[in-house]
Amino acid sequence: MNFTSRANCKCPHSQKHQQKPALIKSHTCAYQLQDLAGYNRALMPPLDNTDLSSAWRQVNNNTTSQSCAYHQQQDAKDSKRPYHHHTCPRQRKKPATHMCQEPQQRRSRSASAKPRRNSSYHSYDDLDVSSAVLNAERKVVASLKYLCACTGATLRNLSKKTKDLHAKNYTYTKPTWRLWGEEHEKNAIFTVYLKKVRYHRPTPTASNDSDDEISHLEWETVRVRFVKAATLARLVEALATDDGELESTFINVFLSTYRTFSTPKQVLSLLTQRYDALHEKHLEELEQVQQNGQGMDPAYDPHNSIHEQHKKTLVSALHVWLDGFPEDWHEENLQQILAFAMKRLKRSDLHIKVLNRLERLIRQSVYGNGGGGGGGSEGNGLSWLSAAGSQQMQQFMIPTHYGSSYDLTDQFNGMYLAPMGHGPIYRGPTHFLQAFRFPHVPIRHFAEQLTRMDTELFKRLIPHQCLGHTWARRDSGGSETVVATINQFNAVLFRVVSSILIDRLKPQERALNISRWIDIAQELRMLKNFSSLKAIISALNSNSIYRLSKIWEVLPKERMEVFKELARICSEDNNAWTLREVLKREGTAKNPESNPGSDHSDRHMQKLILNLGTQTSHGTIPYLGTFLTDLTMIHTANPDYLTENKLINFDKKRKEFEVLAQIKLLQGAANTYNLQADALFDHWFNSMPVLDEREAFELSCRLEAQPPAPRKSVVSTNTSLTNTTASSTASIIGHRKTDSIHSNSSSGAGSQFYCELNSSTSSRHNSLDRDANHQHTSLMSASSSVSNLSLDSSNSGGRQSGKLTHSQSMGNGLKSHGNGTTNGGSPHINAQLVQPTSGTPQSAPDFYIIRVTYETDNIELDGIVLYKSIMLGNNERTPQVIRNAMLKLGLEDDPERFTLAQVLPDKELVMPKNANVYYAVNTNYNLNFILRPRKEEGVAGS
Amino acid sequence: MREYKIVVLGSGGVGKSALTVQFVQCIFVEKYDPTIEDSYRKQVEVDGQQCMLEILDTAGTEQFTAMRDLYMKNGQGFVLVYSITAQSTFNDLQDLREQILRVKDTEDVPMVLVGNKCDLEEERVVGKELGKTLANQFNCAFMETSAKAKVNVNDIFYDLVRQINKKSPEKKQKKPKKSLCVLL
Repeated sequence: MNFTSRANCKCPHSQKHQQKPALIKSHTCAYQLQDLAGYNRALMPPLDNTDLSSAWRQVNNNTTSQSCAYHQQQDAKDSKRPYHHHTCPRQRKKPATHMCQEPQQRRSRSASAKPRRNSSYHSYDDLDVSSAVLNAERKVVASLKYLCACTGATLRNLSKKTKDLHAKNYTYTKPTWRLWGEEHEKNAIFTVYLKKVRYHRPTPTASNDSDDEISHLEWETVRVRFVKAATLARLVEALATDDGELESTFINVFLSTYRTFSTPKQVLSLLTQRYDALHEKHLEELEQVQQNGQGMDPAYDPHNSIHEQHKKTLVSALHVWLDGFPEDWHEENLQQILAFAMKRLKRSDLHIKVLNRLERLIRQSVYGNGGGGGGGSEGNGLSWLSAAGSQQMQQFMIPTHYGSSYDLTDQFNGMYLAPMGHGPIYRGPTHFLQAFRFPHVPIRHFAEQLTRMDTELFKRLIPHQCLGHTWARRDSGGSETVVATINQFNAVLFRVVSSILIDRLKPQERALNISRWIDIAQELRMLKNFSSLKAIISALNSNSIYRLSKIWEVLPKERMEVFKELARICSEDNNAWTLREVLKREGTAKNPESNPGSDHSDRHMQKLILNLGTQTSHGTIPYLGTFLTDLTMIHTANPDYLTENKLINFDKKRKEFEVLAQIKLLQGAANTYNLQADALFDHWFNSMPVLDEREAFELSCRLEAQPPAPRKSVVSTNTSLTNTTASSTASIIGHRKTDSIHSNSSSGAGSQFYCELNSSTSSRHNSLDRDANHQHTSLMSASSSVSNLSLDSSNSGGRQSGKLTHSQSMGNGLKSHGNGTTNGGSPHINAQLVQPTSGTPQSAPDFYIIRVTYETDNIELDGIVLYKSIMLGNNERTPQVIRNAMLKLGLEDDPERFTLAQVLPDKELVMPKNANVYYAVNTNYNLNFILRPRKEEGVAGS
Repeated sequence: MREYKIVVLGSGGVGKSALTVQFVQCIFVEKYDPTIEDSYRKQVEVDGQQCMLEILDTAGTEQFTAMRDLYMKNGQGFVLVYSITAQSTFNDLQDLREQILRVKDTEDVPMVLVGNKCDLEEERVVGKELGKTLANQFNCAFMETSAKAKVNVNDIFYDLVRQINKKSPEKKQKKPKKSLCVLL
């Protein structure tokens, strides 16, 4: 698909058009199924109704030598079809005021030194050029349905003469538009265009038509009014008005966007009221006719009265609404429309439709959620989707919930982490062994499964939830389908990252994983799934992956080139121009296209595309972010209301609709994917650990150390040093600690600062611990185990032996992880601990990442509790840490009123009031903390 | 002409998009078209030098949290925006800054801290002093702006251009570019 405009196109065709506009009869656009969109296009003016030229915006065009797709198509048509030019003398006499307007304007802002490519066109025209070409060339049935809806309204609004012409299969050329002016009425502003429509007989085989039936009409001028701004009541009224032709897509623009200024209930009431009013008027009219005596006006046909027409228009509007926006029709609204249908349209199609809908809804609510007993296939499908959705939602939530963090820990415990009191190593689920394991995964299958997941979510996406108005207030709900799509994107991205970072692998093996993901990304490109494609490319480009230069070095050059090509497609540069172009070109195409305009560097992709031939067709999954940004920007840049009367700015709605229509078009195309779910893949997907950005970075740093002169953490620079003995000791030890190799012993250099354990610990262990610290040059496992043991023994002697083995195994785990990737003995990595690597002591980070949960009296710890990760610098004291945690958790209170405690397997370690937390924590265990309001008795303290 | 890639970051609803639109479009906001290639480009003159600014506004995509790395990787200068009417948007910036420093792997990143919506003085919850303190801590410039009232909008971007110039003068222009493409 090509958005190059005709004005922009330098092919002979368009030049002819520009030079002799009056003579062009050849831009025929057959009124046939494929061209419905073109039909719409013909009926729509350029978007910008105050300045035609700006709607035809363009920038310098360096690739104008080839003709645009539109013209290529037209040329093809023209060559097949002889011209039939019926001229009408009467028409000829008309003054030629309606000159073809093809304003051409260079954008002044494009004066940059950099050569500009075609800009994308942005107007109603262009949207429909796209759909016209698309649909004519590639039948996308689903998307047509949507456009048919527009046309339905269109047909009714056409002047009768025009309608007759269409009924006889006349074709017409693209009409030309001319801005007439604005009309101000009470509560509404209209923009008025004059539209010139040319007509054309399509084929010479009209022999069965008698000459009388051919009108010989060549062209006519129609006045078209567009609502620029109006009150809600006037907008509803505009669905069927008394005079003139109305904007064809009005109904769709209205129904897609009205939620930004009204509610379904309100609009429905207004619609039915309007219908009632028309009904009354019609009755009055009939009465009048009868009063005036029969036979007075034989031409009067009650069924063709203008009121009757409008009533029909309203009913079809209701049909479009019911069919196109099922999300609006919950029971209450259905009841309302049912009451209306009962009253006015008994046993009509509308009535039956509403009844069926209501019945289905009620059946769903009765059987629906109960485990799939009853209900039709649709109900099952829906409940399955929603179940999958909620499951995904939970899974995809980047660990903000304890629930998912537990999942994470479980996975780590099972597969990667030292078993902290959980039993044997490799306690992972057995079915994991049968599941996929990177890099030995079927590439195509993975790409297809990712696409399958995306398709489900994308098809469920409700376009108007993307509207800036709705999306900007995402917290208040109403955009669940958008959030679900984004969560999936993030989920894919995180899985790519973790699949590369976790496990103990050689750089070559990691490179192989990267290479595998590049392969999958390539397949996704072929499947035209730009969402997951972008997720994978972004993951590979994310900080924690791209900084691993040693791994990238061993990546085969050819893979690297493919990666570059794909990254170029996904680039955000120039307002994500590349991705936009690709989407426009291939949006609803069967297959990806090699881009003739792109530079030769895309040879890998082009080769693949050429090899693809004419295989099965696919849909397209776009990257939603671009649309969301566009809609946010449209929302920002355009006021909601115009003039002092607070008229709804309908031009803004039209702009928004344009983006929504693209989404809807692509949703239709997405139906062409036919991919089967694979439970094994889902299992793999859900079993992958999710690392947040910091965790990923820390893992990454462990694989490849940060360059020397590490930055100081921002938080830590902010804290002041106090001069209590404890702190000074801490800082001394701290220095030693970072300089030494193995001093991060398991039970901790800081254990002497454990001022309080839940089961009280005596201070006599300090000496022991110091001893342990002094042995910093030796391997820590033995000494630390001893100190750990002694610590535990004071707690409960009975558990002594168990603790001993535990801490030993812990020591092993830490040791192996300290030794880096060369130690093949233990595959455990603790994602939370930031420990110095033995080989590179200078890279020792001077902070930990700790997770803090807020616990109040009424929330149980084992429920779903929010936690936040915060950075813990090596000179941070308890109040500061509490303050940071509160900031992160969104608590606003006096830090003095909270206590902080580390969660250990069978106890809690409460931080003293002014301890250096960094040294106080027990690094044997996960750095999970609880923040809770200080109890009145003052539990913490001595 | 030198090109500057500027990234606007901040939580949803702080008015990032309004700042960007205001800056790139100035008076012609009605004609603004967000979907074309150079929607977010603007040529400005700063200290007698012509500059082409390309602004990457993350508005609407804040929840693509995992994309931030990429935005940061490509940006040369950063606008960190919070709304003076919402404390949480102010608190979020600490993380954002840390992430930027991590991605850029340096302490010295051209950056401006912006408290937006200063026209809504009566709804203010984040004091100006607080903003200044944070800016001190970040060691970056600070300004309060209003996209609506057109206060200080251009200054954000001019200031960033100056910071970028100072950090990497034009002659060395290729150097930062190289560092951007470590893996390419």
